[in-house]
Amino acid sequence: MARKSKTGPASDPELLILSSLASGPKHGYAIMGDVEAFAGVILGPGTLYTAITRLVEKKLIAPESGSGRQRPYKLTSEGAAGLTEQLNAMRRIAAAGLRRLRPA
Amino acid sequence: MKHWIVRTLLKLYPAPWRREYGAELEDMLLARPLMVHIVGDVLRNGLWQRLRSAEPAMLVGLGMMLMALVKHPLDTSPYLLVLFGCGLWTSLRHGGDSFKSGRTAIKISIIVGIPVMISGALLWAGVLVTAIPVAKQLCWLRVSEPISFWQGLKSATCAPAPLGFLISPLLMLPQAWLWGTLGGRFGRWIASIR
Repeated sequence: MARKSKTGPASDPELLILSSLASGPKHGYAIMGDVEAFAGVILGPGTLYTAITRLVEKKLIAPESGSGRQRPYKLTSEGAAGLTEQLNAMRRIAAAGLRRLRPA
Repeated sequence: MKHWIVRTLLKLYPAPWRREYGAELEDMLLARPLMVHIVGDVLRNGLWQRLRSAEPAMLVGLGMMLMALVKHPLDTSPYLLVLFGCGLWTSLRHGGDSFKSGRTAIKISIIVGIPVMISGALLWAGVLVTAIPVAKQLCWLRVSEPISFWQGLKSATCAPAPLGFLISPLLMLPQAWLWGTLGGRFGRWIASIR
């Protein structure tokens, strides 16, 4: 469950995790803190690991062999390409929307 | 206490999932306060993972059980057709012998019959009392088909025997196995001519 009142693609757990991993490999707890810091969205632990499961299955992220019980996850090349594509699409939509909102 | 709650919550997740991510999620839950919304989040996602990893037979069985519970019972023929179809699908998808298809149909039949069996157990224990006058003689309803069971109960003129409730879904199993196996045989025949 992505908490706080944000809705739409900006609160999509998969997109948030991919964006978090864009700055380097992180384990679950670090992803959760990072997402809260840059997006203001608190991901529930169940939601976080459900999204991680889906991303691993889609081969967009991959676990690294970590020390202890917490494994870091890293963005794969497919994941980076997918994230770039999604963010570019969002940027185009945001730019168009903002342009239209501006008074003529 | 917290350890126990976390372990119990994790048991909601399917075993293969727990092997892969269980330790990480457990550490995360133990490291922070266990608030109600976090428990709800883990619960919801655990059930979702369980559903995702469920076999198709279980999903079909659950779907048909829900249909029977909301009182939209299927007639016997479509029900048997579903069992035949599941047997066929199992054979085409997984191959193997047609007994596997029979086992799939049995699984569906057991799941569909669970509410009927629970009703029987509750009747037997005296927890559940039917609206049908008890003064009338106990009788065996035609409850061997759990999918049309509730319809049969509505039109019953005598009080149902608890034992009838309890074992009726089991009486359906040979029939389910037969239709599932027939579906499997048909699937093997299709595979052989393709």
